[in-house]
This record gives sequence, C-alpha cells and structure tokens, in this order.
Amino acid sequence: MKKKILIVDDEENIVISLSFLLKQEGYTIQTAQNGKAAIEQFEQFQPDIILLDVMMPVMDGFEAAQHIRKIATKELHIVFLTAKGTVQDKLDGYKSGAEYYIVKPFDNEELLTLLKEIN
Amino acid sequence: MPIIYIVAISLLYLSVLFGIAYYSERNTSLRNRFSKSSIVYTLSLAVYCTAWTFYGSIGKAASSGLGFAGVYLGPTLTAPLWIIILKKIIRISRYLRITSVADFISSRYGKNAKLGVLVSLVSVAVAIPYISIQLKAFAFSIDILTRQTYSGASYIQQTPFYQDFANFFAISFALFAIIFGTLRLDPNEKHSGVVNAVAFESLIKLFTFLIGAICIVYFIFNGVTDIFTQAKSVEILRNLSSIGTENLSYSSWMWIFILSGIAFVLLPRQFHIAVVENNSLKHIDDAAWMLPLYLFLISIFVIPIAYSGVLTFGNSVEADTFLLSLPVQEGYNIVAILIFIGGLSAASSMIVVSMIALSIMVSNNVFLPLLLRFEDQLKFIDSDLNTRLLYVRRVLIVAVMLLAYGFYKAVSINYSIISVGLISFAGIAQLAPLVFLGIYWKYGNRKGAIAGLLVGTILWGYTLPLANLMDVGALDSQILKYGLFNIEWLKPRALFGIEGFEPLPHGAFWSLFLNTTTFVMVSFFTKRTPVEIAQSDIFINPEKYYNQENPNSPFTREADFQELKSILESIVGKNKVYEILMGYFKQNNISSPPQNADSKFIDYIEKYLSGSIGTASANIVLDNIVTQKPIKITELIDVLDQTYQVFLYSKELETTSNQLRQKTKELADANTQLIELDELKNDFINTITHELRTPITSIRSLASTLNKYNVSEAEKTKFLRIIEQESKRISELVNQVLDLRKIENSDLIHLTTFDLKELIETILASFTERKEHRQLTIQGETITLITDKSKLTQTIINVVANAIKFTEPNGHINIHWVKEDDHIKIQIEDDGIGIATTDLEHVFDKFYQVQSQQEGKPKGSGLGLAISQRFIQSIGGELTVESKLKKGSVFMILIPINFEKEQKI
Repeated sequence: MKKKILIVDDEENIVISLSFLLKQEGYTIQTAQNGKAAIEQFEQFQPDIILLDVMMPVMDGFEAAQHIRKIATKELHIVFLTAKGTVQDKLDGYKSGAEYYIVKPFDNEELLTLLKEIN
Repeated sequence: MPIIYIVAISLLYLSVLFGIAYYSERNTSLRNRFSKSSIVYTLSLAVYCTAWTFYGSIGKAASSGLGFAGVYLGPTLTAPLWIIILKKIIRISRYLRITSVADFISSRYGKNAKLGVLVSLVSVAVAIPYISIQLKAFAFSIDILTRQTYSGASYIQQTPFYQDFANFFAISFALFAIIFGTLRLDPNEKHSGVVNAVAFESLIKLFTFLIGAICIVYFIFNGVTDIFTQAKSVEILRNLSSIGTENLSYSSWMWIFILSGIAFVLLPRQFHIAVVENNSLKHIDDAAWMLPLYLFLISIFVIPIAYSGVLTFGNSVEADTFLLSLPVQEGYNIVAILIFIGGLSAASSMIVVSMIALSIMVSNNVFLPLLLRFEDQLKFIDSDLNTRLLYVRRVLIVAVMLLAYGFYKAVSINYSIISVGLISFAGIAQLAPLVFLGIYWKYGNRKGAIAGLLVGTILWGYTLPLANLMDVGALDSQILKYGLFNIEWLKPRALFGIEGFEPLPHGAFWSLFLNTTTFVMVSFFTKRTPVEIAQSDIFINPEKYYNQENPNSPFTREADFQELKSILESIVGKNKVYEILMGYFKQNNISSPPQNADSKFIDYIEKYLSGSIGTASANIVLDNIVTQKPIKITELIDVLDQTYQVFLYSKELETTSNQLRQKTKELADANTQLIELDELKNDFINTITHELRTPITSIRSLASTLNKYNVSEAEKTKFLRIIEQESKRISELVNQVLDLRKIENSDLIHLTTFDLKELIETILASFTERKEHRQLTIQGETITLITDKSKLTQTIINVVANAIKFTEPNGHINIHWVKEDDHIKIQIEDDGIGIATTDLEHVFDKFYQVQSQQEGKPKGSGLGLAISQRFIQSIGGELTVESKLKKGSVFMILIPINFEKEQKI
C-alpha cells in the first residue's frame, strides 16, 4: 500500500516542487497551507508522514505538531522541513514531537532516502 | 437682630471648631493626611490675617488708600526668602527641639535664661494689645448686628462686665486654648487639632470676606467701576489713590512693609505655626507661593469696600466697621451674619494660637527658670512636675486673656485696629537682629544680644506705645512737647532733635537702628563663652548637625545614669522615657544601661528636656547632676573646625559617590543598548538567512527534479518559471539590503515632474498577479507632483505589498489621496489582520518584524518599511500608520507637492 504524506507549507512554490517529487516516487500526497489546515486534514486523510514547515500564518509548525501528536491514533512520523536552522530551533522541533528535522534548502535525494528509511 | 441669635450662632460656630479640633486630633488617619498637606500648613499660616485684616484693613484704606497693602506686601515679597531663612530656622529648631522664639534666642546665645525671660516679656507685651484689638473687633461687630450702629467707646465702657460679650468671647477662647493647647506635655509641642481648626478658620475668613465684598461691590453698588466713578467726585477719596501724599508717606509705607515681613515669622503665633507646627520642609516651598495668593485674594476688594463705606457714611461711622455696617444698613442680614462669623474666625484663630504659643514660652522660659533658681531644684523635680507644668500653662492662658481684656477696656477702644497692630509689629521686630544675625553671624554673643534687645525695647516702648498714651492724655502730654525731664532731644517723637518723622517710621527706625548697633558693638568688644561658641556653631551650620542623629559633643560631660533617667522621667513621663532610651540604645548598639552617662547621651537627653521645659530650664536642671570638664576656647574652636571639615569631607564624598552612581548607570544603559543592538543584529541575520533559504529551497529541489525525472513540457515551463521567480526574489532581497546601506550613506534626490494618479495606476498594474482576488481600488484627482519619483514609487510599492501580504485573499485595499494646502496626503487602507498596539510603534524600525506567528508569517526582510520611511523623510514628508488588530491598517504618506519650492524655503 502506498504511504500517505501530508505536506504543510505556506510557500506555494515549495509545495509544488515537493508534491511533484513525492508523487514521482509513488507516495499519496495531500497539501495544507498552515498548521490549522493541517490539523483539519489530518483527521480524514490519516497520513503516515507529515512534512511540516515552521513559520506559517494562523498556526505555526511547532504548535501543529504538538496538537497532532495528541490526536494521532496510529503510527505517525513527523518531519520538520524548515529554513529555521539554529540549534535552538531544532531542539524546539524535537520537543514538539518531531522525529526528524531537515533544514532548507534540502537535497532531494537526502529527503527521499530518509522517507524510505521511515518505511 | 436679637442678641440671642448672635449668641446661638457664635456657640454653634465654636462647637464646630471644637469638633474639628477634637475629631482631627483623635482620628489618626485624618491627622496623618492633614499633617502631610502643604495646603493645611499654608492655611494655618494665614493665622497672620486677624480681625485686623478682616475689618482693620478697610479702616486703613479709608484713611490712607493703598497704605493698607503694606502688611500684605511684606510677607508676599519676603516669601521667597522663607525657602532659605525659614527652612534654616526650622532645621535648627527641629534639631534642638526648640518650641518658641524665646527658646530659640536663649538657646542661640548660650542657653541663657535671662534672654529667654526678656524675649518672653517682649512677646507678651506685644501680644496683649494685639489680642485686645481682636476683642474690640468682636465687640463692635456684635454691637452693629444688634443695634444697627456702633455706638463707640463710651457705650462699651459703660457696659457691665456680665453683659459684655467680648468677655464671653474671651472666656470661650481661653477654654479652647486650655483644652487643646495643654492636652499633654509633648517634647515636640505639636497640636494638630488646633492647627487643623485654624486652617479651617482661614478658609472661613476668606470665604466670608469675599461674600461680603461681592455683596457690597456688586449688589449694594454697581461694581468696581461704579464705586470709582462716584469716588472721583468726593475730595477725600481723590487724595487716597496714590502713595507719597500726606495720607501715606513713602517712609511709613516702607516701614509697614519691612515690619510686616519680620512679624510674619517672629510673632509668637507665627513662629509657633511656621516653625514648631511644621511637619515637612517641603511645605515651605508650596507655602511660599500659596500664601501670597491667599493674601492677594483677601486684599483685592479692600479699596472698593473702603470707598463704598466713605461714599455711604462719610465720617459718621468708624471705617473699621464698614464691612459689617454696609450690609446691615442695606438689610442684607444673612451676609452680615456670615461676615460676623468671618470676623469671629479671624479673631479666634489669632487668640487661640497666640495663647498657646505664649503659654509655652512663658512657662518654659520665665516661670521654670525662676522657680528653679529659687527652689531647691532637685526637690522640685518630682513625678508631679509634668502635671504641674500643664497647670501653670492653663493659669498663664487665663492671665494673658485677663490682661488683654483689661487692655481692651482701658486702651484699645480709643484706637483704630490697625494703629495698635502696627505698634505690636514694631515691638516684635526688636527680636529680628538677634534671630536673623544669629543664624548667619557667629560672633553675635549673649551680652550683645541682651544689650541690643534692652535698648531696642526701651526705645520702642518710649517712642510708640507710651508716646501714644501721652497723646491721649493717659500719661503726661507735656513730655511730648518738651521731652523727658525737659531734655529737648528726648522728645518721644523727635529723638535726638530730629523732627519731621511720622510716629511709626520714627519709632521703628530709632529702636531697630540702635538695637542692631548695640548688639553688634557689644558683641565685638566682649568674648564668647564655650557654650555660646558651641551653640552658635549649631545655629550657623545646622546642616552639619541636622543630618547626623548624634554628632559628637565638643564638651566632655559626665553624669550618673540613674539620676539622669529619674529627672527625665519626672518631666516627660515613665512611658516616654522608656521609648526615648530604647531609641538611643538601639541606634548606638548598647545592650544594657551604662553606669555613667557620657557626653553623647547627655546631649541626647538634653534635647528632649529642652523640648518639654525649654533650653534654659533644661540647662539649669542638668547643671546640678552633670559634671563638665573645663575646655579652653581655642580647643573648642579646633574641635568645631574639625567637625566642620569632616562635614565638608563627607559632603564631598557624597557628591563623588553620586557621580559614580551616575556613571555606573550610564555604563549599564550603554551595555543594555549594546545587547539590544546585538539581538537586533542576530535577528536580522536569522531573518535574512531564512528569507534566502526559502527561495533557494524551491530552486534547488526543482532543478534536481528536472534533472532526474521525465517532466512534461507544460510542467517544465511551470517549474522554470518558479525558478526564475524565486531567483528574482533573492536578488530583490539583496538589493534591499544594499538600498539600506546606500540610504544610510547618502540621500541623493532626483526631482521629476509627474502625475500622481498615473503613477499609482502603473504601480497597481504591476500587482495584477500578486493580488490574487484582493480588490485594489483608487480614489483621487489628477495632480502634478514635483518630487523624487522613484522614492515615492518604491514606498507605495512597499506599502501595497505589505497590505497584500497581511490581508485575506478576498480582502480590500484602497488607495486615496487628497490635497492639503501645499501637501498631498496619500492613504493606503486595508482590511487585513492589522497591527497590535505594542508592535505599532516599532513597525518602522529597521529589521523589525511582527513576530506573532499566530497572525502571520513575515515574508519580508523587515527592511521595507524602514527604507520607505527614510525615503519619505528625505523628500520632506512623513510616513505614519494607524491600525487596529483584526480591523486593518491605514498607512499615510504626507509629502510636499513641490519639493523644490519646499527646499528653497
């Protein structure tokens, strides 16, 4: 069965490029523009992996991750994908419930390898 | 009006006064609040305004026009000096616990008992006539209210004792003074109840006087102009409107002015209120302007009332009574009663405070030292002394009242209020050289002080009160004509053969001149004792002692501790002694009572004793149990000089440490600023990094994708366009950072002429793609601007881009502009998420980003608005913003239409 990935980012161009890449690799994709939208879609989509940006309007990535961790019923992997690259940011990310933290700009292959590992 | 009404009103007023004094003395929170108020202090100082002010000023104005104003101008013009002189007197008095002007002088000149007696006698001699004129004012006011007219001296002299209401009045106020003035023997002699009652009375005085004035000037007459117009046709009034006429000479004007300035501080009741009852030095600063204001208000209608009286009554009514006679004559009974109450309050406050001040002065400076001299002193000091002293004071109050009453019956009836008052002023002025030179001239000594005061007082008595008695025939009037013992140059109104002076300037000049000269000369040619030297040091440099609780005494003194304690106990009471001793032990870290008391401890106890029984008495009492090692004068002066050096040094240290503290604070501030700048820099770098990483992410990822996968043509085009877009975004950011640097370095301006409407339309066209579904509307006329087009364009683009960023995709953005004189106002309004008030003041700061991730993700560098504001400022304009969270923001650009013209101006 195809793995389901929820891409959450407010930068449209990044969403476009990620969607294309992951579709090519055979994942099922849905996208959301901010943390709040991500929580709403999470319920019905039930993704296996969430790729999460941090700085977004309405609700940021940290808060969304915490919230989703609370409502998740089955196994779920959260990967932060963000331009915020300080150590403090990473720590905050892990604290809010993520397992991986990738700093933009990322390498396509690195991301794909990571996703395969999660499999 | 029936007499019974007036008695009832008086009793009612008195009970209100008793109520205020009693309640404010008992209620602690009220007492504290009042004691902290400089208004209460100022109003209580207005005890200066007695029945003299209330009725007598009008009498004076009726005979000499502006002559009345001297007594107000004296305190008014000397008020700024209080801030220096009065504060110094208060500091000294507080440090030494001085409770009267007699105590002050006796303490200054070596704790001398004789001087205390002398000053007390002068004060009583001056106060009795002064109190008596208050009784007179009361008597005539009752007379006018009950019988429509004032029937004059003969009538009052015929009234039997039990029918005379001045008598009833005198008894009531003696009672008031006894109850509230001798409640207890307190080393600070503070009587807050009395002070509050007096402050209240000052309000009543002012209030009723103004009501009376308005009634006379505006209801009985038709305003001030009417009075002055009518006055022009009356000859006596024409002569009153200037100084330097026969009615009012310059010299008497000047002397009234000088004497009242002195009397304001030195009259026993004034010294008591201003110094003894003062709770805070800060109150002086306020009183220095508020009291002159009070005096101004209470004097402003005096002349119109005096003229009204003369116009109505001519010479048929005594001018002192005009304020009351006019409303009574015209049938304004309510007003008349109010004025009666005002006069009552003016007289009663003066009498009560004077009696309290005099009873303290006489009991501590005359009665006790005399008693101690004749009795076996240590036998006399027992546990009953405390109560006995209070009884002495009560008896003194009654005695003073009786004397004043007698004087009123015998003498005052025949004189106008003000002439008696001015003689009192000249009398008390005899203390001025001793007090004012005493706190600045260290060589003034006891012998000089006694000699000067004696000479001054005798001359004053001879040239003023006695000469007046000769005038009316109560004493041999031949002396006036031919001089004492027929010696030509001893004529009481032409001393030393110098004629042509008026009585008051003559008496005041000779008495004060010879007083001062004698004081200075005798002081020059006699030596000071060690005690005098030590005391003068305290009076001249009080700040040296004031800030230290227990400075070291220059004398080496010793006493038995238990003996000292039992003396203190018999005078201030056992409980108080416990408090005093505990305070001292705690301050000096003493654990158990010592066998022998040292100099420092004796000094401490002496101050408490002085507060209760006066400086001179305390000195006599202590002399019996204290042994003092002899000290040479040269040694003493050395010690005092040394302590002065220490004082100067510590003052210098204080200044230096203040400077250090200041520098430290500056450093800390600079450091905070650096930290802030550093944080700002880090934030900026983080932001720039973030902003660079975001577009690079898309570019890098898409490039790899294009490289690796089979991509359709359509998608290839789409991806390449994204790569192009994001590359542009990066270069824009770089340009902005560079712009910022450029602006910081130079402000070159290129002026062009263009149409604003066209410009805005072009700008909006460039947003077609970015705006999505947002509605961009414009509103405004065609208008030609001459300014830097590219700067304005850049600013509008920045603001509009911001507006798009922070509005919902279906939001509205409206640009409208309007001409305002030679400026144009462009407003860019959106209905977006708005800016919080806390952020609002920072939006134009460089690198500032609204960091609320809940509300919106900043997509810029935090430079756009900072740059825009600099642009607009460089073309002579302003960029401002108004905003409400969740409602939207309005950015306002206000620039000159023609910047070229603007620059030339």
